[in-house]
Amino acid sequence: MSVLLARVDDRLIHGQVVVGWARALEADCLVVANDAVAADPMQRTLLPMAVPPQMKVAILRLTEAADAVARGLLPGKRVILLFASLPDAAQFVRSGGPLKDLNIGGIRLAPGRQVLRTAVALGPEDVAAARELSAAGTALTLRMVPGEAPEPLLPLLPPPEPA
Amino acid sequence: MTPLLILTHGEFGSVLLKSAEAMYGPQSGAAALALGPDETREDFAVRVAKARAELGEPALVLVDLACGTPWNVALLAGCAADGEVLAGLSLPLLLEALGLRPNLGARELALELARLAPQTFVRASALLASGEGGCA
Repeated sequence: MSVLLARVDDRLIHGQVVVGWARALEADCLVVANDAVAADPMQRTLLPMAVPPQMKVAILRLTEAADAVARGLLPGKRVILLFASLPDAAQFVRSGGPLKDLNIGGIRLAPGRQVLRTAVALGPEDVAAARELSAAGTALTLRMVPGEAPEPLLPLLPPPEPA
Repeated sequence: MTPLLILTHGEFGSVLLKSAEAMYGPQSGAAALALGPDETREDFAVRVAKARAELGEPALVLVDLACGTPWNVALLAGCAADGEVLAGLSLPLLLEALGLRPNLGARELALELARLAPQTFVRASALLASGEGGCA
Protein backbone atom coordinates (compact mmCIF):
# COMPACT_ATOMS: atom_id res chain seq x y z
CA MET A 1 0.00 0.00 0.00
CA SER A 2 0.95 3.60 -0.27
CA VAL A 3 -0.45 5.76 2.53
CA LEU A 4 -1.55 8.99 0.84
CA LEU A 5 -2.96 10.51 4.01
CA ALA A 6 -2.89 9.63 7.69
CA ARG A 7 -5.60 11.49 9.56
CA VAL A 8 -6.97 11.92 13.06
CA ASP A 9 -10.75 12.22 12.81
CA ASP A 10 -13.12 11.16 15.57
CA ARG A 11 -15.88 10.60 13.02
CA LEU A 12 -13.62 8.10 11.17
CA ILE A 13 -15.37 7.24 7.88
CA HIS A 14 -17.65 10.16 7.00
CA GLY A 15 -18.45 12.70 4.30
CA GLN A 16 -15.27 14.81 4.52
CA VAL A 17 -13.13 11.71 4.20
CA VAL A 18 -15.06 9.80 1.55
CA VAL A 19 -16.13 12.74 -0.58
CA GLY A 20 -13.45 15.33 0.20
CA TRP A 21 -10.17 13.54 0.76
CA ALA A 22 -10.66 10.26 -1.08
CA ARG A 23 -11.68 12.01 -4.30
CA ALA A 24 -8.93 14.63 -4.13
CA LEU A 25 -6.25 12.00 -3.50
CA GLU A 26 -7.81 9.29 -5.70
CA ALA A 27 -7.63 6.92 -2.76
CA ASP A 28 -9.19 3.49 -3.16
CA CYS A 29 -8.83 2.11 0.37
CA LEU A 30 -9.72 3.37 3.84
CA VAL A 31 -7.87 1.78 6.75
CA VAL A 32 -9.59 2.39 10.07
CA ALA A 33 -7.06 1.83 12.86
CA ASN A 34 -9.21 1.59 15.95
CA ASP A 35 -9.42 -1.04 18.70
CA ALA A 36 -13.03 -0.25 19.66
CA VAL A 37 -14.39 -0.41 16.11
CA ALA A 38 -12.38 -3.57 15.38
CA ALA A 39 -14.07 -5.20 18.39
CA ASP A 40 -17.61 -4.04 17.48
CA PRO A 41 -19.37 -6.32 14.95
CA MET A 42 -22.08 -3.73 14.32
CA GLN A 43 -19.61 -0.98 13.32
CA ARG A 44 -17.49 -3.45 11.35
CA THR A 45 -20.58 -4.24 9.29
CA LEU A 46 -21.98 -0.74 8.95
CA LEU A 47 -18.94 1.47 8.33
CA PRO A 48 -17.83 -0.13 5.03
CA MET A 49 -21.40 -0.37 3.76
CA ALA A 50 -21.93 3.03 2.19
CA VAL A 51 -18.56 3.89 0.70
CA PRO A 52 -18.43 3.88 -3.11
CA PRO A 53 -18.25 0.32 -4.49
CA GLN A 54 -14.70 0.67 -5.87
CA MET A 55 -13.39 1.57 -2.41
CA LYS A 56 -12.10 -1.04 0.01
CA VAL A 57 -12.40 -0.62 3.78
CA ALA A 58 -10.09 -2.39 6.23
CA ILE A 59 -10.85 -2.19 9.95
CA LEU A 60 -7.81 -3.13 12.03
CA ARG A 61 -6.67 -2.97 15.63
CA LEU A 62 -3.91 -0.38 16.17
CA THR A 63 -1.21 -3.05 16.42
CA GLU A 64 -2.52 -4.80 13.30
CA ALA A 65 -2.58 -1.51 11.42
CA ALA A 66 1.01 -0.71 12.47
CA ASP A 67 2.09 -4.12 11.23
CA ALA A 68 0.13 -3.82 7.97
CA VAL A 69 1.59 -0.39 7.12
CA ALA A 70 5.13 -1.32 8.21
CA ARG A 71 5.04 -4.43 6.01
CA GLY A 72 3.30 -2.70 3.11
CA LEU A 73 0.36 -5.12 3.03
CA LEU A 74 -2.59 -4.43 0.69
CA PRO A 75 -0.28 -4.17 -2.36
CA GLY A 76 -1.13 -1.46 -4.88
CA LYS A 77 -3.76 0.15 -2.66
CA ARG A 78 -3.91 3.93 -2.34
CA VAL A 79 -4.72 4.27 1.33
CA ILE A 80 -6.19 6.82 3.71
CA LEU A 81 -5.27 5.77 7.25
CA LEU A 82 -7.74 6.91 9.91
CA PHE A 83 -7.26 7.28 13.67
CA ALA A 84 -9.95 8.43 16.10
CA SER A 85 -7.52 10.28 18.38
CA LEU A 86 -3.96 11.53 18.83
CA PRO A 87 -3.23 8.97 21.59
CA ASP A 88 -4.28 6.24 19.11
CA ALA A 89 -1.85 7.62 16.52
CA ALA A 90 0.90 7.64 19.18
CA GLN A 91 0.05 4.01 20.04
CA PHE A 92 0.32 3.15 16.32
CA VAL A 93 3.83 4.62 16.20
CA ARG A 94 4.82 2.87 19.46
CA SER A 95 3.67 -0.38 17.84
CA GLY A 96 6.11 0.17 14.97
CA GLY A 97 3.80 1.92 12.50
CA PRO A 98 5.61 4.42 10.25
CA LEU A 99 4.01 7.87 10.33
CA LYS A 100 5.81 10.71 8.53
CA ASP A 101 2.89 13.13 8.31
CA LEU A 102 -0.32 13.29 10.33
CA ASN A 103 -3.33 15.35 9.32
CA ILE A 104 -5.45 16.60 12.23
CA GLY A 105 -9.03 16.65 10.96
CA GLY A 106 -11.60 16.42 13.72
CA ILE A 107 -11.15 16.09 17.47
CA ARG A 108 -14.36 17.40 18.94
CA LEU A 109 -14.82 19.09 22.27
CA ALA A 110 -15.12 16.79 25.29
CA PRO A 111 -14.69 17.45 29.03
CA GLY A 112 -11.07 18.46 29.72
CA ARG A 113 -10.43 19.62 26.16
CA GLN A 114 -9.80 23.20 25.02
CA VAL A 115 -10.99 24.44 21.62
CA LEU A 116 -8.10 25.12 19.26
CA ARG A 117 -9.85 25.49 15.91
CA THR A 118 -13.26 24.62 14.46
CA ALA A 119 -13.75 20.90 15.17
CA VAL A 120 -10.39 20.59 16.90
CA ALA A 121 -10.16 20.61 20.70
CA LEU A 122 -7.27 19.15 22.67
CA GLY A 123 -6.91 17.86 26.24
CA PRO A 124 -3.70 17.15 28.13
CA GLU A 125 -3.46 13.56 26.82
CA ASP A 126 -3.90 14.82 23.23
CA VAL A 127 -1.16 17.43 23.69
CA ALA A 128 1.13 14.80 25.23
CA ALA A 129 0.49 12.44 22.30
CA ALA A 130 1.14 15.26 19.80
CA ARG A 131 4.48 16.03 21.46
CA GLU A 132 5.39 12.35 21.56
CA LEU A 133 4.60 11.99 17.84
CA SER A 134 6.53 15.12 16.98
CA ALA A 135 9.55 13.89 18.96
CA ALA A 136 9.31 10.60 17.02
CA GLY A 137 9.56 12.52 13.74
CA THR A 138 5.91 12.89 12.68
CA ALA A 139 4.92 16.26 11.16
CA LEU A 140 1.47 17.27 12.45
CA THR A 141 -0.74 19.70 10.55
CA LEU A 142 -4.33 20.91 10.93
CA ARG A 143 -6.50 20.65 7.85
CA MET A 144 -10.17 19.66 7.72
CA VAL A 145 -10.63 19.40 3.96
CA PRO A 146 -8.27 19.36 0.95
CA GLY A 147 -9.17 22.92 -0.12
CA GLU A 148 -7.77 24.43 3.08
CA ALA A 149 -4.15 25.37 3.65
CA PRO A 150 -2.40 23.10 6.16
CA GLU A 151 -1.41 24.72 9.46
CA PRO A 152 1.38 23.25 11.61
CA LEU A 153 0.01 22.05 14.96
CA LEU A 154 3.06 22.37 17.19
CA PRO A 155 3.20 26.19 17.43
CA LEU A 156 -0.43 26.17 18.59
CA LEU A 157 0.13 23.84 21.53
CA PRO A 158 0.28 25.22 25.08
CA PRO A 159 3.85 25.46 26.44
CA PRO A 160 5.04 22.24 28.12
CA GLU A 161 4.46 21.96 31.86
CA PRO A 162 7.61 22.83 33.82
CA ALA A 163 9.30 19.64 34.94
CA MET B 1 -48.98 9.14 9.48
CA THR B 2 -45.44 7.81 9.19
CA PRO B 3 -43.03 9.92 11.28
CA LEU B 4 -40.28 11.61 9.28
CA LEU B 5 -36.81 12.41 10.60
CA ILE B 6 -34.36 14.37 8.45
CA LEU B 7 -30.62 14.27 9.33
CA THR B 8 -28.11 16.41 7.45
CA HIS B 9 -24.70 18.05 7.50
CA GLY B 10 -25.56 21.56 8.67
CA GLU B 11 -28.96 23.25 8.25
CA PHE B 12 -29.68 21.81 4.78
CA GLY B 13 -32.44 19.54 6.15
CA SER B 14 -34.28 22.10 8.25
CA VAL B 15 -34.20 24.64 5.41
CA LEU B 16 -35.37 21.99 2.94
CA LEU B 17 -38.24 21.05 5.27
CA LYS B 18 -39.25 24.73 5.43
CA SER B 19 -39.20 24.95 1.62
CA ALA B 20 -41.31 21.80 1.38
CA GLU B 21 -43.75 23.15 3.99
CA ALA B 22 -44.13 26.28 1.84
CA MET B 23 -45.52 24.00 -0.88
CA TYR B 24 -47.26 21.38 1.24
CA GLY B 25 -48.30 23.22 4.38
CA PRO B 26 -47.05 22.81 7.95
CA GLN B 27 -46.03 19.27 8.88
CA SER B 28 -46.59 17.48 12.16
CA GLY B 29 -44.60 14.39 13.03
CA ALA B 30 -41.61 15.63 11.04
CA ALA B 31 -38.30 16.93 12.39
CA ALA B 32 -34.93 17.94 10.95
CA LEU B 33 -31.65 17.78 12.88
CA ALA B 34 -28.46 19.55 11.77
CA LEU B 35 -25.10 17.96 12.53
CA GLY B 36 -22.80 20.83 13.51
CA PRO B 37 -19.13 20.91 12.46
CA ASP B 38 -18.08 20.87 16.13
CA GLU B 39 -20.53 18.17 17.21
CA THR B 40 -19.36 14.70 18.20
CA ARG B 41 -21.00 11.64 16.73
CA GLU B 42 -22.05 10.68 20.26
CA ASP B 43 -23.75 14.03 20.96
CA PHE B 44 -25.58 13.85 17.64
CA ALA B 45 -26.67 10.28 18.42
CA VAL B 46 -28.22 11.48 21.69
CA ARG B 47 -30.24 14.11 19.83
CA VAL B 48 -31.32 11.57 17.21
CA ALA B 49 -32.50 9.15 19.93
CA LYS B 50 -34.50 11.95 21.59
CA ALA B 51 -36.12 12.97 18.30
CA ARG B 52 -37.02 9.36 17.48
CA ALA B 53 -38.64 8.95 20.91
CA GLU B 54 -40.69 12.13 20.36
CA LEU B 55 -41.72 11.24 16.80
CA GLY B 56 -42.58 7.60 17.45
CA GLU B 57 -41.69 4.50 15.47
CA PRO B 58 -41.31 3.12 12.89
CA ALA B 59 -40.06 6.28 11.22
CA LEU B 60 -38.65 7.07 7.81
CA VAL B 61 -35.21 8.66 8.22
CA LEU B 62 -33.96 10.76 5.31
CA VAL B 63 -30.25 11.64 5.26
CA ASP B 64 -28.25 13.75 2.82
CA LEU B 65 -25.31 11.46 2.09
CA ALA B 66 -24.71 7.73 2.40
CA CYS B 67 -21.52 7.13 4.44
CA GLY B 68 -21.68 10.55 6.13
CA THR B 69 -21.98 10.94 9.90
CA PRO B 70 -25.80 11.43 9.89
CA TRP B 71 -26.04 8.13 7.97
CA ASN B 72 -23.61 6.36 10.31
CA VAL B 73 -25.48 7.60 13.38
CA ALA B 74 -28.87 6.54 11.97
CA LEU B 75 -27.63 3.03 11.18
CA LEU B 76 -25.78 2.54 14.46
CA ALA B 77 -28.97 3.64 16.27
CA GLY B 78 -30.91 0.89 14.50
CA CYS B 79 -33.11 3.23 12.44
CA ALA B 80 -32.90 0.86 9.46
CA ALA B 81 -33.97 -2.10 11.60
CA ASP B 82 -37.04 -0.47 13.20
CA GLY B 83 -37.93 1.79 10.29
CA GLU B 84 -36.20 2.79 7.08
CA VAL B 85 -33.20 4.98 6.22
CA LEU B 86 -32.82 6.59 2.79
CA ALA B 87 -29.80 8.62 1.65
CA GLY B 88 -29.92 11.16 -1.19
CA LEU B 89 -32.35 13.67 0.27
CA SER B 90 -33.71 16.17 -2.26
CA LEU B 91 -36.67 18.53 -2.49
CA PRO B 92 -38.66 16.40 -4.98
CA LEU B 93 -38.14 13.27 -2.87
CA LEU B 94 -39.11 15.11 0.30
CA LEU B 95 -42.27 16.40 -1.40
CA GLU B 96 -43.13 12.85 -2.48
CA ALA B 97 -42.52 11.64 1.07
CA LEU B 98 -44.80 14.29 2.53
CA GLY B 99 -47.52 13.40 0.05
CA LEU B 100 -47.29 9.65 0.61
CA ARG B 101 -46.66 9.35 4.33
CA PRO B 102 -50.31 9.72 5.44
CA ASN B 103 -51.11 6.48 3.62
CA LEU B 104 -47.94 4.37 3.69
CA GLY B 105 -45.93 2.80 6.47
CA ALA B 106 -42.18 3.40 6.69
CA ARG B 107 -41.26 0.34 4.63
CA GLU B 108 -43.79 0.90 1.84
CA LEU B 109 -42.90 4.59 1.80
CA ALA B 110 -39.19 3.84 1.41
CA LEU B 111 -39.83 1.36 -1.40
CA GLU B 112 -42.03 3.85 -3.23
CA LEU B 113 -39.49 6.69 -2.84
CA ALA B 114 -36.70 4.42 -4.10
CA ARG B 115 -38.85 3.63 -7.14
CA LEU B 116 -39.57 7.33 -7.78
CA ALA B 117 -36.02 8.61 -7.19
CA PRO B 118 -34.67 8.28 -10.77
CA GLN B 119 -37.65 10.26 -12.11
CA THR B 120 -36.84 13.19 -9.81
CA PHE B 121 -33.49 13.74 -11.48
CA VAL B 122 -34.24 15.26 -14.86
CA ARG B 123 -31.98 16.48 -17.66
CA ALA B 124 -33.90 19.24 -19.41
CA SER B 125 -32.25 18.93 -22.84
CA ALA B 126 -33.15 15.22 -23.02
CA LEU B 127 -36.72 16.07 -22.14
CA LEU B 128 -36.86 18.80 -24.82
CA ALA B 129 -35.35 16.49 -27.43
CA SER B 130 -37.92 13.80 -26.65
CA GLY B 131 -40.73 16.28 -27.34
CA GLU B 132 -42.60 14.99 -24.29
CA GLY B 133 -43.78 17.22 -21.48
CA GLY B 134 -42.54 16.08 -18.12
CA CYS B 135 -43.06 18.80 -15.58
CA ALA B 136 -46.07 18.52 -13.35
